[in-house]
Amino acid sequence: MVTISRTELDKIREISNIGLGQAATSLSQLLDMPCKMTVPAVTVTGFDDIIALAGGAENEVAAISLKMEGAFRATMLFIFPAAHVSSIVKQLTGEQSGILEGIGHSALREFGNIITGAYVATFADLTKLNVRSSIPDVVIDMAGAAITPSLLPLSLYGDDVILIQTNFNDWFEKSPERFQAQFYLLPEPGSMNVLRTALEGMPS
Amino acid sequence: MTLTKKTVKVGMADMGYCLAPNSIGSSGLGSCVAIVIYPANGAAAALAHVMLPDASIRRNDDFNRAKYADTAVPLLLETMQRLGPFRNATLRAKIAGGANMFQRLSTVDPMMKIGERNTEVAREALKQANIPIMADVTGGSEGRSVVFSLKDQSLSVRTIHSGTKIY
Repeated sequence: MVTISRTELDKIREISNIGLGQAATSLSQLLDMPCKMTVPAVTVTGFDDIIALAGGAENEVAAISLKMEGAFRATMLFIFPAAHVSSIVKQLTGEQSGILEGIGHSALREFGNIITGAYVATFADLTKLNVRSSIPDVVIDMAGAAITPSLLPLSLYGDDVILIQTNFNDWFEKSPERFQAQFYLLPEPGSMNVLRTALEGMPS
Repeated sequence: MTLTKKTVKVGMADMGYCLAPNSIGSSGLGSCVAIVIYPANGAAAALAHVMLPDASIRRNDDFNRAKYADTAVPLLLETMQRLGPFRNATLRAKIAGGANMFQRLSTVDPMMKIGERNTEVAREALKQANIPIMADVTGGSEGRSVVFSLKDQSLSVRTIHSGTKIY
């Protein structure tokens, strides 16, 4: 069982709020449309609950996965419905086809870099930890299959994880469907002591 | 009286069982492997949704046997023994999953290649228990959902891109 104090949760929430706020600004510039985000929710949760948040194990999603590496290790996941992939690729590349192969996948990886880049920079700045992000990878498949690989390093420690979750809404205001994208940060339990010490140095 | 057939759903790192004429399944398997064990007469089936190859790599004390391929097979056997007097010799297995979902990240993070390892250890554990594998739908880079039906002892495997196939 993962343990984390209320004060620590609040500090992580604050870091995430600032970092993802910047990510949201970059995104609205990139996509040329308003991008709103929810205040990050920080919880300790089970594997199946995480899959349920992404719409259930069989829900078709696009998942962009990156590692936060260095002094502190975590997995960052950006998830959105697979149905929105082609419109995002069109918007990013200006291509009409919204194809998934080649340029489409590169565009989505770049999309992941922008979202997580702003977050990682803020995280490093506020915690004074030397962290960087890995290369991004993209998979479009069932949520269970797309998310589980990111849970593996955490599964060595137990059956629950610390989840920092933020929803991004209203990217496509004209779209009848309400677009919901989610950002997850999943710290590796072995890194939690490093983070605790860094958080103590931060003003509450 | 009519029997209503139902499908028992097994979550990640968990196990479950069902009796005839019901079905048992697990959804959205990526690198995870579903191991199904059933007697040749199709009276019952037990399924484990394993995440990791062997229990020795765990770094905690709480121990969930359904999570690891090497400990899940004995757990499934014990479950079958509780369900009926099935002899090991009459037991059969079907396995599915073990994909490599993130092709690029797996080049920098060996943890991402765990699907292959899960499959190897599942096969080895079944071999040691002397249980033949009747269907082995593993590898590749696609997510799978599986349902094992006791009615005809078939394993239905669905992927997003290739549809549903029966094994």
